[in-house]
Amino acid sequence: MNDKSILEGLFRQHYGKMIHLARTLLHDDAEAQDVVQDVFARLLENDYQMTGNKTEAYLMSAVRNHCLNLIRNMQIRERFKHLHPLDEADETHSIDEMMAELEQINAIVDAHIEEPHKTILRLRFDEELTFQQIASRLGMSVSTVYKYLRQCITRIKLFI
Amino acid sequence: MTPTAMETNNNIDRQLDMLDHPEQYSEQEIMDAVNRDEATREFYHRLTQVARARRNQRSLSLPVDTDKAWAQFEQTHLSPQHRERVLLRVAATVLGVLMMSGIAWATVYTVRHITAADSSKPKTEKVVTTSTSDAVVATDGITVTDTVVVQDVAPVVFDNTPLEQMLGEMAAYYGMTVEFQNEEARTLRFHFVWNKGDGLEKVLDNMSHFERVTIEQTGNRLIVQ
Repeated sequence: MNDKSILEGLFRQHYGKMIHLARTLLHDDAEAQDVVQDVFARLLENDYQMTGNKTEAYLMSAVRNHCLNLIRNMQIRERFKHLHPLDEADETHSIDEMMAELEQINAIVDAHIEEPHKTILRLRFDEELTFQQIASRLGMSVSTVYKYLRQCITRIKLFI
Repeated sequence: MTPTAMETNNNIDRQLDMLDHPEQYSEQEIMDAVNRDEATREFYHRLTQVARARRNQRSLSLPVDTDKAWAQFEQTHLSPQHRERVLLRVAATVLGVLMMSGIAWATVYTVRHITAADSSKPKTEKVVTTSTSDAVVATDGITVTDTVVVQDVAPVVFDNTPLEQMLGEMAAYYGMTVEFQNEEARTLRFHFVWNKGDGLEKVLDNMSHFERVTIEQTGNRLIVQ
């Protein structure tokens, strides 16, 4: 990979998908960006020859491996706090399968989760509020928030 | 005994309560709450999937600034200053390899020279390798074959490899033994590029970035804590 323009071409062609995968797997956007930069830095260092249609698969696998390594090296408490898997055995799907499943979950949330469940999901996962904060915001008890979340998970499971 | 529906709900609620205050619980308590039974384990798994799905969704709304990312990459990895640093590193490596080769060549040359000077004595064979520094010991009457086993310096890539296997290979290479004081660490998996050309000290330094284990060298033992 001596030709800078080839590397730049690869970078520009694949960066979007790679950063999307890293952002999906990690909770920190800056860290996700670092992962993609590191993958290309290693490519450069090891002088890999990228040919054929396996390039994208290689780059995406490299991103996933890098992300999983970062998660694996986190303390259990940190992994739990950010809702990362605690068990290696949960990472059995290919990248495409995983992405398809995640898109399916999002479609189920959009189509089959009612209020106030949907708002609770949004506040917890998109705005990253604690359950206590969600309870205060919605004027309900924490145990009611827990109940709604349990119902959400059960409902999502029904459609998968 | 299978937990009742109420017990299952209580166990899951405890898990959710812990999510608000993970710092108040030990790692063992967290693991116990997640792995309490099949229902709690599955609930946590589903929760992680939903969290990932929401990050996936959110990612679609975040800007993707490829120009900026490439500029940053160029600045960090392709700038003249960076190239200079890389060139210096490559030069140092080449110098190291040349020195190793020089030792091997000198070894072969010395032994051949001695042999040529006294070819009337009985001949035996010995393979000289660059990996043993005292291979220069040239006994009178020994004929050296042309076979020079070059030390394998290609980096070894451990991809999602259990620590026990990884350290086993390294320990054998550096003539060390491994002792696991932390039994759990045996099955932890890591991605690691092992450059055999690096000394043990440097390798251990690189491995010190693993947050969940500490590896110490004591004499000829590698102790995993």
